[in-house]
Amino acid sequence: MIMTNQKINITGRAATVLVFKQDGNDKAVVSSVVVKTRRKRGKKRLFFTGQASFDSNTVKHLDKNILPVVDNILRLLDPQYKQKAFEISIVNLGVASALDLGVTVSGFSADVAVLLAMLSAVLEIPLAQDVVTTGHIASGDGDIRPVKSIEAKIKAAIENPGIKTFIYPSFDPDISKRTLSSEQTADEMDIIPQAKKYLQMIEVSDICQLIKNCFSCENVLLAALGGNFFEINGEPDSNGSNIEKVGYFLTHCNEKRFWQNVEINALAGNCNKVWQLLQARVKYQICRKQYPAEFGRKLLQLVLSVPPSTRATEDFFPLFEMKLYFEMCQFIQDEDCADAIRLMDAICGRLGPDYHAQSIAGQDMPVETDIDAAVRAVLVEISVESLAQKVGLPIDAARAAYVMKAVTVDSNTAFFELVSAFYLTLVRHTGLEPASVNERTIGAEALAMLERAYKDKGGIDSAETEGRNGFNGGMRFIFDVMTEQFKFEQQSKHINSVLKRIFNPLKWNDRVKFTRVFLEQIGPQMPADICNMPAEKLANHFERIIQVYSKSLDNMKQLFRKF
Amino acid sequence: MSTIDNLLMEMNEGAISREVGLKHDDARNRYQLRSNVVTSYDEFTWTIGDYYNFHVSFVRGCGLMAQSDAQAKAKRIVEQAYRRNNGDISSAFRDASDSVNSGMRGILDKIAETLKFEDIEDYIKTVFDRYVQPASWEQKVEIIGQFIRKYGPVLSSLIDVNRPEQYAQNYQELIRSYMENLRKCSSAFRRL
Repeated sequence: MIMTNQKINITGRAATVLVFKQDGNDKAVVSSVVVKTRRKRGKKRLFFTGQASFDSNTVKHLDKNILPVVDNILRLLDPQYKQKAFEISIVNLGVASALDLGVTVSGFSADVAVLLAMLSAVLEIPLAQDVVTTGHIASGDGDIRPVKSIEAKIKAAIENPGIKTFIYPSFDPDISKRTLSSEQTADEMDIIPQAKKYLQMIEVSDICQLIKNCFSCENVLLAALGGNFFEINGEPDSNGSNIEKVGYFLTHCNEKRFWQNVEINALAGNCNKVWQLLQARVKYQICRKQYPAEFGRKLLQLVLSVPPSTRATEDFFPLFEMKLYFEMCQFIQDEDCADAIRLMDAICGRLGPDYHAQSIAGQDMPVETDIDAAVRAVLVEISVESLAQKVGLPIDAARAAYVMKAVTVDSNTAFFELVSAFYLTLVRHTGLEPASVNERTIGAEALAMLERAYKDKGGIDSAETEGRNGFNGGMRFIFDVMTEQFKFEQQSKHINSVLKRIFNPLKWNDRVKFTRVFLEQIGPQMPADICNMPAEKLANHFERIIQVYSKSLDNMKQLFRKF
Repeated sequence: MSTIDNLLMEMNEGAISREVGLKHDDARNRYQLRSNVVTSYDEFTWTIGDYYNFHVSFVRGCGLMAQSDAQAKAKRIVEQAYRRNNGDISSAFRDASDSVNSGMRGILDKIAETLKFEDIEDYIKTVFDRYVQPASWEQKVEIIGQFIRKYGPVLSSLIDVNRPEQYAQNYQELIRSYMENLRKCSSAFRRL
């Protein structure tokens, strides 16, 4: 249930550009649409205040087309959603007043700004004021279509030093484009590449793209926690409905998104943000009278993976109010007791000796019965793209988000702590946590990996020297080496597990059959002596052969990627 | 200490990393990427431009340049880096789109390494110019004379310590090569 139903007078503010005529020319000015929610009394739902007036057609359009879109989105988040009334006004028309112009908002180009301000007001998701939007919402499903005077609007945004981003409707060739004169369209097509010199230009064609670009993940999370749609976990819409896509964006994988955001902010040392997110989460759990499973374990692991120098920042601990911790502990079940202790340790930064993590089993790959399909599946599964997607991406993302304040360390202890913290980050991001983790085992595993990574570079002593003097990049270099080693090991494990899963259950005859199918597939490309080899001879080495073949395909693909 | 000792001291790997390298590594290490993949070419150019701006302003302690200028400079670096492997900016965009070859992280690393390398080159040139004016033949002869008197006999019996003029024109190349080999040796020693 959306808690904001009970709240009133929340303000949403979306920047846009309004155009008016002066001496026959289009004049544009950056402005803001301000929307406040009101309790609905009677049928009327839209109220207009302030000096700018709205043309009757525009009002009708907002009422008939924009309000239903807003209602449909909110209904996805809360089936018991009660319709709201909105008070709409326009600000910052000083320029228009100075020119003694009466401004009437007509046409549909403020549609997206009004929609955003309405959603912002109801969901309490603040909008960035350096982002300007324009566009016409052309259907009840939130399709966004081109509007006129784009050129004047972009120029106004460029001239306004506070504006960094301009969101405009896509100019894909569709029927709506025919409504513009060819001259006008040409101008607009020209101005966009020019504007990229000054602004970040983002093209959108539906409200889902719009909302993804306007609402930050952090603010969506906070709104989800405050508005109680955190755990809805929407499913992607197979029909391609834009409204469903918005619902999916606002609700899917919020749990995962929560931990990602806490981690990113913790690594960046944004203590206030970490505090805000955790406070909101704990308050949400208290409202639901529920202790979240494994909360302590996850938070403790996250805290341990943050560089010690960042953790040592004065404001880092406590992570959230102790009062809330005790309130939430009212709802623990018997099985949560140990976790609640870990949570306490994490909140206060008591990163003491032992805690345990449950192992997470790797995902199973279905065993193919059809040999032909299985060969293809194996080749896809161990291809460079698949390895990058399934194994490399989370590891690279973990490294890319890992920031710290200095690239050198001044003691042994600091070096080993940092290496362990970084190793834990890599491990957490793969989802393949060791069965039992404590500070000592993490440290030992981290050093073992560092030893392997530095085998040809002088071993751990050499790494430690590098960490202290930074001749080749210090800890940055060490982390990069560890990342590559970790990625290599994880990829090897993945390849092995794929091959073992496919081939180990096969009987000898099946292995021979498998080899024969494979040779038939690659036959035309291979020399005759190899093609004529009996499959029985190769069946024993089939895993090795398929790896070599896949590697050679990857080399070719890498070559093609260059062109 | 002689002039050559001072020059070599300013050019050893510790001095170079202290004076130039660490700032670049620090800059790279402080930039947080929220996603290792991009969904459009605009996002790609915006991200590399943003990183370039961050890196340069962090290292030089200056304000930010216009985003379009930063993007142009970042694109040039990425293009050059990929061209060394017969690729181009499109290959970089492909890597950033599907995270192959370390994705966006790898691309930002390339920008950081190029900026670091360029700064190190500038630093070395400045050090040389401070000790030896590029237009002064006498200073070149003097510095290479000091160098071969000190290290010549160790390096090769073919080096004639009494004829420094023979090497004066290539004094930079010789000293750089000596420093590079010294770096390789210390690196090998560290592996022991």
